[in-house]
Amino acid sequence: MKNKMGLFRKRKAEGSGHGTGGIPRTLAPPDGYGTGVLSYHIGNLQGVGARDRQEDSFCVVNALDADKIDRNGLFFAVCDGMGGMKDGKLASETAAAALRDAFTRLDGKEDIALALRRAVAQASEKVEARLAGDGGSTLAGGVIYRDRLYYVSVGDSALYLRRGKNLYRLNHEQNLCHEIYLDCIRKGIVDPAQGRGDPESAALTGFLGMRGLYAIDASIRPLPIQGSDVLLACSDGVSGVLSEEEICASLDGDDPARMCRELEDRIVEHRNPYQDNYTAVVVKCFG
Amino acid sequence: MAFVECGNGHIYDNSLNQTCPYCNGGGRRMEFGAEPGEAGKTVAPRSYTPSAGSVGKTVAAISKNMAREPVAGWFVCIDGSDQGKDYRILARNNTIGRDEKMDICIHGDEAVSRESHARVGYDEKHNVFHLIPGESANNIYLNGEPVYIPTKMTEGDVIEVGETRLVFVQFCKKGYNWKEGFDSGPSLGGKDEK
Repeated sequence: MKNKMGLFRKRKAEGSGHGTGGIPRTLAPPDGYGTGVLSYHIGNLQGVGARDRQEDSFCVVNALDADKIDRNGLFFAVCDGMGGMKDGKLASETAAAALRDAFTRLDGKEDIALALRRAVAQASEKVEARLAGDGGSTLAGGVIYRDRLYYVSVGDSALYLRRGKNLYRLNHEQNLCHEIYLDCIRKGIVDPAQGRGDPESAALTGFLGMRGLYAIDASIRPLPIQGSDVLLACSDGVSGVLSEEEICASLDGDDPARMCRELEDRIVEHRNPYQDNYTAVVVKCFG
Repeated sequence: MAFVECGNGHIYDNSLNQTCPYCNGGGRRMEFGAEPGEAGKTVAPRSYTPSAGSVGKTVAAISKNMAREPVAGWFVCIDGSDQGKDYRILARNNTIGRDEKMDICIHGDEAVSRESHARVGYDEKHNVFHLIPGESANNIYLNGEPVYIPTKMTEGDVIEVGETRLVFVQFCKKGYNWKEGFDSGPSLGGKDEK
């Protein structure tokens, strides 16, 4: 009996590590599901923090046009650049622009999940070519089409879903810390201290612009979106500073612009002298 | 109050901002007494050079030895806020402006446009350099003459952008460049660059 419980726990931990496990879905699809009945309000937030330049980029396509969302879907992405003096911004901007272009070229015939993964691979190649391998960018974003979310992520930026009063992490971080977690779980250790304690735990194991990017985190099947859901894509200047409780509390209400202000207020409250660039895109869904 | 979308996919309130506040790397700055630049450098979570991971998987590292784009020449600032500084002209088109993401970033000169005040193009086929005016309302000058069309530059030319004066130092020349190698032709100051 005891063993069984242990096994169950381990499995659960592994599941939550991959993000989508445990999000409640209503059994019967909402009326009109699959035809695009929801409407979306979008907010965005960006701050330099205590750094001397902004290296994050973000972009949203079709945000203010309900007709275009119906026809072509909504695209959003947050990219967190890394690298040398000026290359960080160049990397994140190149990545965001490449993905935006790829989204606008979608013709509706192709499978979106597949097209999105291909777009990410192409964006990575573009960043690599532009920066000669000396820099890169994370990515957290996705496409909402007919009330389904196709997400994609590379690196340590975050994607959250607030459903009801709960917050769910959709993607997993590609950093050394996460690799150590997985390794521990395989060995049967569920104490996260080992991963967090590693001096290089923040080192990215995947980023756009990486030679031989071996893995991206993406949805294979889309996640059905419900009215009153809130989606958040953000750089680690947000998710690395605020606790999940704080993020969840910030995403309350109906106004995404106000949620963004709330996130920023809470970041400022932390008064982190090394506050990283912070960027967020919030999508509030209305049924 | 009206929210609008700029061409780069940012949403902003156009009653508060005339132009998109996010397009030039904007956003709120925080200073808590510490020098912001130093603060960024101290922790710099991303300027790592991670070793092979202890879990046996290769951790991507940004190697310091990876080939950067080759240099084709330099500008040396002889007058202006960045006096004494040199700028690398890469073997391609180079943007000149005040913004960090410009290839040649003239930091302290407010008279220089943020983006693409001008460009310097290096043509590797013919080994010539051109000064190309950008979108700035302010002129650029080559040896005292205003430049309105792409104009060829030669070693020692003086460029004026904003309040800044730059001297052009040529590295890549005919028969002496990254394509043809550096075995023949002129060497600079007796130092062979390979």
